[in-house]
Amino acid sequence: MNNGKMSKSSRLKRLKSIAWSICRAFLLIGLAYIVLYTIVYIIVVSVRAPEEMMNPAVVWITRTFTLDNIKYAIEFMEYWVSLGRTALVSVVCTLLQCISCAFAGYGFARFKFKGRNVLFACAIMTLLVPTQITMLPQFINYVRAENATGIIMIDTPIPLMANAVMGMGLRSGLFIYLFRQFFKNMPKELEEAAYIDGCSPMAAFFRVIFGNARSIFLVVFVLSIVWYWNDYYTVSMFYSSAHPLSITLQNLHSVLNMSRNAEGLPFTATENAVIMKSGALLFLLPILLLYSVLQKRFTQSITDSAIVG
Amino acid sequence: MKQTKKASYEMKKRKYGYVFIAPWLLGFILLFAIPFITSITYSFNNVEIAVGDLILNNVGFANYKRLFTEDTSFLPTFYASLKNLIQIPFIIMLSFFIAILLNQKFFGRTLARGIFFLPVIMMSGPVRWILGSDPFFAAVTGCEKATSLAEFTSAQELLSIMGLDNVMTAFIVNATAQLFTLVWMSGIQILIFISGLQSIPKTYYEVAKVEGATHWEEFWKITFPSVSPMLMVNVFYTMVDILLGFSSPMLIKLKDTIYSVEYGYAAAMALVCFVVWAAVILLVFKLMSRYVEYLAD
Repeated sequence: MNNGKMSKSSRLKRLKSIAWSICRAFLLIGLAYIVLYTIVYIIVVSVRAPEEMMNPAVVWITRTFTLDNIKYAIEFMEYWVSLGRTALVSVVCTLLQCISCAFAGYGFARFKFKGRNVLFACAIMTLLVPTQITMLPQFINYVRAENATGIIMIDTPIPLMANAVMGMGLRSGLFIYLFRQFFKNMPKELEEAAYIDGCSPMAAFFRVIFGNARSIFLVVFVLSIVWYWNDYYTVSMFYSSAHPLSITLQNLHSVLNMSRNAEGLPFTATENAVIMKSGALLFLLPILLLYSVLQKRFTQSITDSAIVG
Repeated sequence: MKQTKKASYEMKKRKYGYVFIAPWLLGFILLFAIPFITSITYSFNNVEIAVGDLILNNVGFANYKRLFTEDTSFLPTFYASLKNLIQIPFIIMLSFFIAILLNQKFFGRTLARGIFFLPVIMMSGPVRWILGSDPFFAAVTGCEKATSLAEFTSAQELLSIMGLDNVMTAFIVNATAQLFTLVWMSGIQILIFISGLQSIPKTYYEVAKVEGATHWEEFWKITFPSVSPMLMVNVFYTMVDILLGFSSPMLIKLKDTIYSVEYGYAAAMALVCFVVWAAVILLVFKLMSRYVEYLAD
């Protein structure tokens, strides 16, 4: 009697949990659809013959598959040259930013010095100031530094890298914050053991902390490289001759309007719109590939690094 | 003897604090503080470009006066940027909800977590602008909006039958229609919430179970208080993202002003925005910190 009751309630419980899994699957698929919708749209359209855009029967599945759009986009974006420079600038700046922000975050987290809280508030405040407001004076200062030292800086990657190495890259304040939270939650015993062994704080940082902070470094690396990849404002100010992908993609529309296709005819508005999608796909592809490689570890790192307020 | 040794060690450690923040501090002074102050002087001047330098003509408060009295688009754009802050509670609730779903164990969880970060990659730059200006994409989403609008109108009737006034109804309907935008803006917030949920010790739930707490009680007594610090972080991040993000109407106007080489005017505009935004953010924090419990620290 008693046994029968038990199995009934446990069966109810199982039924409940199955119902919830189905419900959860529906919710997640629905929400994921909102996210994936755009990327699928970009991929589908970029391999579609432009005439099909007008065909109302074609929504998702393309009938005539073509790579012409992608070829045009590669040609008019000067894709390979731009890609190389964009990758170089994003990767180098991201690495420099990781190091400088980790240093600052560690300093704020572990050492008690005069003015620590005020300076940390300043680091957060840099996030609230539109970059545009400091960019022009920065530019003038770089021009002056160029005149004073004789080293050419404008239109080279130097200003971008200098900003990154001094913790003033894109959204540095956020990264300093993330590092500080992470280091604050690390057990103090880690460094104390190193100090007893006679390490200086600097040596302890590289030997002990660095190896134990991989997850937060990965999080910051991914976020930072995504923002550098997408950035066009800073790079157009300091390194416009690089023609990074973010700028060539934006200019693609007007470049296409001025150019002619393989048959010597101007591009129609439809063709232009389709080739723009191919350009967008080419722009996103490298960073999406990088993300898909790192994704598993990245999401794992997010949960490991427990960013506690 | 031991005391002094320890004190000197502490002193040394203190000095190392400065060593660690030195690169940032240098950058803060050279690349932020000085340019910021320079920008303040620009705002009181008419700035013209000469070869390799700038020529400043003092105009007093003319730039600020122009901002509030002559420029017809500044104040509306500015209000629009502040009005967008209404999205915050919805973004927070949605991302918290998604984070709770993604925190449960199920097949394909890692992939699902990866998908919700994609908006951050795709929407922080030019791709957003391309999709926004694409007539075909607008047509596709437009169609969807048309069908869903029909549903919304019936939902609207339902809500008004339920006794909600029109303003409230319109508000709810509008918020639902914006689900697309909200999901697109929740990428980082979801990650932060997941990281918070993961850091709650499992023992809390075990104890609660032994004590006979319901899921509802577990949520309000354990989950919610534990992630409340994350709530602050997310509210801050969302505010910064809305006000200074890539689609902020105010920043677009600021960029246009800079492209039309009116630096003094742009500096005045940026400064007014900064002061008001910083005040709003501080106010929200003061209000929130009363209600948020700090378990950590």
